[in-house]
Amino acid sequence: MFEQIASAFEAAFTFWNLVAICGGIVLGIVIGAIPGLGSVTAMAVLIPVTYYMSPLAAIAFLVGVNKGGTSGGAIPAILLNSPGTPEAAATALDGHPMAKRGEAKRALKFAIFSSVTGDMISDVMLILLVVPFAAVALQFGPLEYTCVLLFAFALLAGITGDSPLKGVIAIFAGIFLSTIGLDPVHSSQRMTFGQVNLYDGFSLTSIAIGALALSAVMVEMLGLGRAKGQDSFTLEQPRSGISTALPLREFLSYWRTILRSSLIGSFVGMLPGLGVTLAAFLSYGAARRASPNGDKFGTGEPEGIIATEAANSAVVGANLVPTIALGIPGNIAAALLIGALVMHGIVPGPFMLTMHGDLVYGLFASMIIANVIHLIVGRLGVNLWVQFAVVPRGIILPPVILFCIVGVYLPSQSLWDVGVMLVFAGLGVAMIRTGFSLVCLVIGFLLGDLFETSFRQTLLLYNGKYAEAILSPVALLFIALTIGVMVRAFMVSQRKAE
Amino acid sequence: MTDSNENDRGARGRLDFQSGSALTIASLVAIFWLIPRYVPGEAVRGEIAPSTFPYLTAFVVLICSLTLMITNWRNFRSTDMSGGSRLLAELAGWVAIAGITLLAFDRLGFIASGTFAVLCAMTVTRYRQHLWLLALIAFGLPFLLKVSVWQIFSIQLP
Repeated sequence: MFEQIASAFEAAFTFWNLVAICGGIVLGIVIGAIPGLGSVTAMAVLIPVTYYMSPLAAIAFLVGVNKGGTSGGAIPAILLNSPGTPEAAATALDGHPMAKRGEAKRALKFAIFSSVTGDMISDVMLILLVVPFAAVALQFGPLEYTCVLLFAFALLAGITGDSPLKGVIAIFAGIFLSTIGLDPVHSSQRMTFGQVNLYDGFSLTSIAIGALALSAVMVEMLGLGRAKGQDSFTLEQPRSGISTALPLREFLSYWRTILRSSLIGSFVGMLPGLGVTLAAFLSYGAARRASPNGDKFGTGEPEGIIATEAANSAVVGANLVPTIALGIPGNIAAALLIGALVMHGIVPGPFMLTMHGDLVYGLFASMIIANVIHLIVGRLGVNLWVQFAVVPRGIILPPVILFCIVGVYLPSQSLWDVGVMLVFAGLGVAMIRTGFSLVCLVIGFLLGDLFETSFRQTLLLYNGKYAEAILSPVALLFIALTIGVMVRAFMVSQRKAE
Repeated sequence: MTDSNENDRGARGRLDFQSGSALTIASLVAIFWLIPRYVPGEAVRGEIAPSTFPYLTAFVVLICSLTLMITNWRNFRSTDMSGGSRLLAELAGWVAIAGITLLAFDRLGFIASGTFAVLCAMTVTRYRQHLWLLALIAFGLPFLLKVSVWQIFSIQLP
């Protein structure tokens, strides 16, 4: 064990790996700090760049982007009351009032310290839990896998978007899109129209950049156009004479909130399908109930920032537990990581630990190193990140289109992929406007292959003797959970409608 | 319940009905034309036919879309503005811009298509301050990207 950890740190402590981590964190914070973008956009746009890196440096780079992007989202939330991402909305509740009374820098320091602490706790949980989880997953047959995937889809549809019905439609539309290309068993052509470009199906990079990044940028631009180019937020100028210092002792005095929020974030992150936003709001609610200053939440209480930032950053590490152990992404960022792993010829799942153990342990070491770098870079650069947050969106957003085009063109050097990206960007805008979840579509597309393979293997394995399938307690448990989650989601949606 | 809330619900319901209808048509096209015509239906060596899974997913989408339509049936005749026409206008604009960008990318190269895409985006945002900077971005960034991509990755953009 210790030998593995030592060799993992040795592998992670190379110059280029450290450059990749540092670059990822800086880019993540910068893009996350720009209102309207965020860590998912950052990851989607930057995945193609990793094509030219070693697998470890590539994944470490993207983990750095995710860590930086998640904490970077707090900057516009605190300074501008403009949460670029939904999870940062909870940070704005207390962060912005602090900024208004001149404590912007203190609020930013609370955010970065909590973010790194939550991240570190969740990374330790990942390292401790991933092996037992993978050992359990190795016992799963196709039936159990199919049921676990159904459960993940149910969680995803039940939580994301404005209605579970639309969530199911988006997921199955994504799965349908994944069937285009060569059949995984017979290699016969399915809906390829004789187009060689379609033999491998749509590329995940094109769909992810088009649907997640470019469509979000387009919606922001259209919104800005309706506001006649005027950003609706202003920077709160710190008043002079107010301390900006945050002693470590003061931060650690909130250790209960830090620990509770990190555990909530880690737990949410480990469940496939649940996102960062849920973790942030669950943690904020729990902190408000537990704190003696609960009634002051929403008026600039540091505990509110700590609760949300520790929880949403804790999701980053923990969502790799189902990603590595089962090959099922914890959220959309993990789905993009899976895409990057596949691009480097690595198939996530229980066999990843045995077949690419060096890479997995190297990744764990990189994550720990990334936390230290994140703390240093985030803390030293506070003044600089603020400048990115206040650049007008009218200047920032148009160039992102160019980065998307170049990002998609680089790996395949094909105009086809650029065209696919543009089509999915339009589809993404339509889905955002009509309330369908893009996250469901992309995760459905990503897991479609795995779902189809395990489903077809299940049909063959039981070959008409489906009564035998009920003898699997794991399958029964996950079917019951799937039904429970869907019934509850429909009831909640019905109540909301009334 | 306020009138405004009722209007919002009516508009949302109408949009849901419209999107449910579009998805129903799309899944029917997939089930009755796309899959039978472009996916082999016969199973070999006791395997599952390649068309089984596409059919299954298309059926799930069809059933859910029909449910979406039925649950929003009463909003069909709602006169509240659903945003459907605005969405169609946005999509039409996007198709035009994306089509020209792609064509320019193929025929005129990255610098021309990039400049066109950035200029279109700037027109959409209606941001009119720092015009010199906007011009610099529109004309300079595509060139800078093309040179950077060549220097870093040795890839020639069209």
